Amino acid sequence: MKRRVCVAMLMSLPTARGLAQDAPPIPLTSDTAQYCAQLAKQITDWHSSLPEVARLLADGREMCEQGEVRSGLRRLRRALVILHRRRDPARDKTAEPAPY
Amino acid sequence: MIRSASLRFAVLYGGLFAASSLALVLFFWWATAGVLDRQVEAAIDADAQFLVERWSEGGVPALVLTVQERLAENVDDDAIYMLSDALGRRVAGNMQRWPAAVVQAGEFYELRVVRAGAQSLAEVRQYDLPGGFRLLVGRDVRGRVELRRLLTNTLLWSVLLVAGLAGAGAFVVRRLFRRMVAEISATAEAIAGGDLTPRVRRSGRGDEFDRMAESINTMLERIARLMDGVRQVSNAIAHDLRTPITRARARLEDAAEHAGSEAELRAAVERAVADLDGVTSVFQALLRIAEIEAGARRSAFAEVDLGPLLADLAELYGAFAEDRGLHLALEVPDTLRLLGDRELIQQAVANLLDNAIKFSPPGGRIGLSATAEGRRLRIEVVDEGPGIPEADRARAADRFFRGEQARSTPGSGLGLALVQAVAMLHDGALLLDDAAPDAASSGLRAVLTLHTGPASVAPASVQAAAVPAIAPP
Repeated sequence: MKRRVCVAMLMSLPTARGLAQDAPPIPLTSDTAQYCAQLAKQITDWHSSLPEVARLLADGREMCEQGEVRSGLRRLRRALVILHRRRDPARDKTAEPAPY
Repeated sequence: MIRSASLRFAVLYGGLFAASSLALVLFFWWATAGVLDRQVEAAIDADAQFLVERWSEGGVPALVLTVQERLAENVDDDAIYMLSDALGRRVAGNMQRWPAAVVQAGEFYELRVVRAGAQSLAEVRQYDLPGGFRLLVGRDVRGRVELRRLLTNTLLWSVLLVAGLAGAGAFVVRRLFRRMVAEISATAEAIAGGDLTPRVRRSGRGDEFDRMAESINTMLERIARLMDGVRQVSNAIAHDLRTPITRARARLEDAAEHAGSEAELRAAVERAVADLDGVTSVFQALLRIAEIEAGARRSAFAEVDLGPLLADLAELYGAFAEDRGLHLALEVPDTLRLLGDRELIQQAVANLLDNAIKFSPPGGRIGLSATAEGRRLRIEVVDEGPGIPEADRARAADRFFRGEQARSTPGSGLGLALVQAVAMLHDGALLLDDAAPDAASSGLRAVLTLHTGPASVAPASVQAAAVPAIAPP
C-alpha cells in the first residue's frame, strides 16, 4: 500500500499536465487491417519496380493478413518512405513526424 | 524535545543525510523522466508548427494531405493526429473521435488510447486554427511510461537504501558520541572522587575528539600542578612558620618560669613579639603575591619612568652594598617609560638587589642595568654569588623555595615569587641564568622583562627579543 502511494507521488512529480485517464480509451484508426489494405493499395498504385519495395509490400500484406497488423504496417510504411524519397530525393526529413 | 544529546545528534545526522539524498533522487528524476517528458513535448510542438505552416500555405486540403502522408510514413507507429471542423466532425487523422477531455488549446493532456487492440497512453496537445478548425497532435508514450516505471522502481529502492544508510549512520554517530562522552564522564567522575591521575584516552587518529581529549588532559595536568603547588605551599607555610612560633612560645615559657626580673621578662616578650612580627610579614608577603597574581592592581597602572626609579634604588642599595664591601654598578638610560605599578616594580627590583647583596662574596661586583627592546623593558641584576643550579631554576620562583646554598641565609623564600608575580602582572617574565654562561658558578643573572603597555608610552623601539619565561608557581 505504502509502495503504491510512493509510486503515485513520484509519477505525479514531473509534470502538472491535464490527466484524462478516467475517460474511456479512444481507438486509433491507423492500426487496423483496413488501414493496412489502404497503405498496400497506395504502394501498388505507384507501380514501382524496386525489389525492396516489392518485398516490403509482400511481407506487409502477409503479416496484416496473419493478424500481425503493426508489424505489417511498419513494413508497408517503410516501402512508402522509400518511394517518396526516390520520387523526391530533396524531401526534407521534417516532412515525417518528428521523433522524440 | 529529545532529552538525549546523542539521540539528537543521531536524528540530526539521519535527517540531513536523508534530506540531501532525497534532493539527489529528485534531481535524478528531473534529469531523466523529466527530460523524456520535455522531449515528447518538443516533438509535438515541432510537428504542430510544420502542420500549421502547411495550413497557411494550402489551407484545409494541404493540411489533410500532410496528415495522411505523415500517418502513412510513421514507421515508429507512434504519431497521433486529428483535424476537426467547427462542428467537431473529424476531417483527418487517426483518432476515432475528438477526446472529450481535451478542451483547451496549448495544454498537454495524457489520454488512454487503443492501438491495434492494446491499450496505450498518449500525450496530446490541441491547436486552434482559423474557421473553428481544431488540430490535435500527439505521441504514443507507452515506451516512456515503461521507462518511467523502471526509474520509479529504481528510485524507490534507492530511497529505501538511503533510509537504511541514514539509520545506520545515525546509529554509528550516536555510538561514537556516547563513547566519547562516556570516556570524558568517567574521567571527570574519577577526578571528582579525588583521584587526579586519570586522563581521557585518545584514539590516536588525531581527529577532533583526540584534540578535545588533549585539551581536557592539558587542563587536568594544569589543575594537578596547581593542586600540587597549593599542597607544597601549605606544607611550606606549616613548616616555615612552625619554627618562629615554637621559638616565641619557648621564649615566653622560659621567661615565665625563669625570668629573675621584670626587665628580663620584658626582653623575652619583645623577642617573642619580634618572632611573631616575622610570621606576620610572611603572611603579608603571601597575601601581596596573591593580590598581584589576581591582577586586581592592573586597574591602577600609571605611566612610570624607570630611569629615575632604578637610579634611586641603586643609590639606596649602593649604601648597603658598600657596607658589605660590594660595588654596585648602574647602567640605566635616563628615561625608560612604561605603563605599570611603580610600587610593585620598585619592590621587585629591590628583591633582586637584596638577593644579590645577600649572596655576593665580599669584594664582589653587582650590576644593575636596564634597556628597552621594542615593546619590552629588560632589567638585569647580575651578581658574583653562588648562582642557582640549573635543576633548581624552574622552581626558584615558587613560594617558599630555598636552594641548598640559601638555607643558611635569612629569608622567607618569597622574594623571587613576588618578582615573578610582578613580571606576570606586566605581561613579562623572570629569567634566571648564569651571569656568564661559559664560566662555571660565576654568579646569577636575573632578568626581569616588562611589557611597556600601549604604544603611546613605549620607549624608542630597539629590537624585540624573545625572553623565556619561568612558569608561574
